Amino acid sequence: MVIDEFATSLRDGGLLFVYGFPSDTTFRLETRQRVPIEIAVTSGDREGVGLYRRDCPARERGPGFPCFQFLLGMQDGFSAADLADRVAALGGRFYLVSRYGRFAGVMLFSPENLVRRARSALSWPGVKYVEFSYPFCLDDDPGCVRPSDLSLPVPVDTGAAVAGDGILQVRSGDTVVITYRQPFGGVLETRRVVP
Amino acid sequence: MSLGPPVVVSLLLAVLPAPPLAAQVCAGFPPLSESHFRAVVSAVSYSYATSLGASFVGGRQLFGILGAARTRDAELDASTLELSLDGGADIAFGPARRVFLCPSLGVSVGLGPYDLLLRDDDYQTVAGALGLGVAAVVVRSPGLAVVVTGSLYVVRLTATRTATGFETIRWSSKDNYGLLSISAGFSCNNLLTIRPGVTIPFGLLPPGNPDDFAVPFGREERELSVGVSVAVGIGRRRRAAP
Repeated sequence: MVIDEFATSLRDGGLLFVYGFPSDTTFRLETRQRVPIEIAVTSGDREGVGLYRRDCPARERGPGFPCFQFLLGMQDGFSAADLADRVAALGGRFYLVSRYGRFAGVMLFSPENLVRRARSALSWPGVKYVEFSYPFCLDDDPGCVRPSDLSLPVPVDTGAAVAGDGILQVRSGDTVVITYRQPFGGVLETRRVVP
Repeated sequence: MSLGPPVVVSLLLAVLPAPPLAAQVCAGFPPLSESHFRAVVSAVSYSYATSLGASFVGGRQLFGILGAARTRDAELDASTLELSLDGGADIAFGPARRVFLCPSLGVSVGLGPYDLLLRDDDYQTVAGALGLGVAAVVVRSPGLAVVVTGSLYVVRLTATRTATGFETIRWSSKDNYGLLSISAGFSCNNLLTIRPGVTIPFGLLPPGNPDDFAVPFGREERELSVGVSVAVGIGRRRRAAP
């Protein structure tokens, strides 16, 4: 398991993005399945969540798209930053807004109907295009998305811990510990200190 | 897997309608001996998609089927509309006329999906199919008939992908595949029929192949899909006076 350095932002209104890489690359998670992990914060919060696929759709045929995120492009005179409330209403947050707001990355916290929800963003004021894209990579690059890869974004806020609410409450100096208990024993763990 | 040379010359295919084309008895429906027409609605569940369809049947031993079906993949937020025209024959065997052979053929056009994944990326398909079915009437009483059927079709499909970005680019891909269907039709008074069934496509282009879009939308290799059709006879035929 690793924490995505690019998308993760452990601040109020931020998010934590976790990747899981099964050792068996022929593994395929079905759409109704989740791989349970636990996220604990030293100041008290504890969330039980489930990794989902990183690469969608579940079928392997045809074009793919990231299971939780899409990109917005804005028309002249509009800033994506002004759409934060609409993104929240859609069940997500920005993980990236370009310097002048012409371009933004949206992370949704559930994968259901992602394409339909992304399509609805086309009707938002000032939105020029919506698209799905992966970082460029060559097929044999180990950083490329594989159909077996897993992922999960979790919203992050600051403040008092509320265990089990699906939002990770953190404080500066906390350590976030992500744990996966393997079915036949053994524990995988990764951690990060909140700046 | 390819099924060899095209069996249906110049019948380019598309996506089969939700109830795969078949002669009436071999599709689990009663012969059109009691009614002039038949209206059929059907629903099919695939692994990643669902299909709803309707068709209209006219004729007798020789008949035609006009059909339309919409197949939707919720995860892709995409759908196709399939329009089909099929024809077939019911050929009865034996003195009790309980066994039927049913040759049939058809053409269909698949429109969509359009703007797949919010890209300027549109798909259309044209398909032709030729097949043979066999049916056995296992129950025939005054009010109820039960028909068990199996059929095998060879389908040739041509898919066109059109990307309209800075310039329009078209790709075309073709493939042959097979479609196996098994169903059972339960008919009341030869007028109302409920027909559950399964279909299994085989020989589809494998995923990852650059031409892998030449497949019926929503289907997967050797995927067992379950469907149900309901048919109603329209326009009861007058029996000849003794």
